Amino acid sequence: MKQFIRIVSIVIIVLCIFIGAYTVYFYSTDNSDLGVRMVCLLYEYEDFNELDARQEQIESLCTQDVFEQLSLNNSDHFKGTYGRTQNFPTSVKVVFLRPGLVVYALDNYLVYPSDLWCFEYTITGGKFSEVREYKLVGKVTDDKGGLFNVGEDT
Amino acid sequence: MKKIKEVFDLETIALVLVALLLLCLLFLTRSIVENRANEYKVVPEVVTNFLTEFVPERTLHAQQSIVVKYFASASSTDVDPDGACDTTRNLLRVFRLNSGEPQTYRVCVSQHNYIEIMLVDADGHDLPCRIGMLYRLSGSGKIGSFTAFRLLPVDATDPEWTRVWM
Repeated sequence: MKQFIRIVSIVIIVLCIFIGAYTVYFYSTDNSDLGVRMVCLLYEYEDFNELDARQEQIESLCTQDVFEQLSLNNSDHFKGTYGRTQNFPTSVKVVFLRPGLVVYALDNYLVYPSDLWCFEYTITGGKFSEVREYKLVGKVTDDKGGLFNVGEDT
Repeated sequence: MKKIKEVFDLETIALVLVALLLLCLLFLTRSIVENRANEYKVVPEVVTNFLTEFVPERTLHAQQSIVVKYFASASSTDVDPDGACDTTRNLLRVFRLNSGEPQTYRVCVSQHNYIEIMLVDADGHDLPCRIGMLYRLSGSGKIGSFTAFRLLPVDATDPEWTRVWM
């Protein structure tokens, strides 16, 4: 009986260490991966039909409030985001990445390659619980050209 | 009773306790890691000192001195007739707002080599929009290379919306 309890305890300890280490590794890298994945889900598309078909996938990654904020049906969000790219094929170029932060450019017929946007987020319980989106305007740099390297003018 | 004492000796109890403790920690791991990922990094002293001195300053001469003190790319000799070098002029383009007179700032986001701040007036009101700066420190401890910009919300319902497209 004593041996059995000891073996079970040791198995639990070993399993906990392995699962814990995996969880730490997975979620540490996953934070940035999830950010990039969400930006691509939102802004990389052939046309709006593809984007529309993706809404459930986006919803599964967000809290309800965030999904309402990012949804195609939110006209305020639509104007500032899809209004810039409209129904033209668009791809995302990530130019800067930190936990909770993705700075990206868009490859789209209507968008200057040097224009940059910032997608900021907080993940709680594996879901996007807070999202803020900005356009980077009035960029200034040092005489060496600064630290963002994308497009011709940056 | 004797049998229980035989089974649960000190070593076994210790092992069981450690196993239970690790099991509890395992359940908390995800939220601990998520919280750490959401935590902000400490802003380097040279950046906070620069912002603390530069933000409330009004005169071009003093602003130029502050920029020369903290930026490797700024020069005290290569200046235009107005007394400012390119680096100072560039920074002023971002930091000079039409919405009010900034007295101080608050840090909104701070990550490795990246900071976002909101300027704040004397009454403690935010002066949107946010200002972001990606920087790299030089060997001399100054800010070696940088890109500064304003962050304009894409959503007009955002409280930081300034009603002005730039």
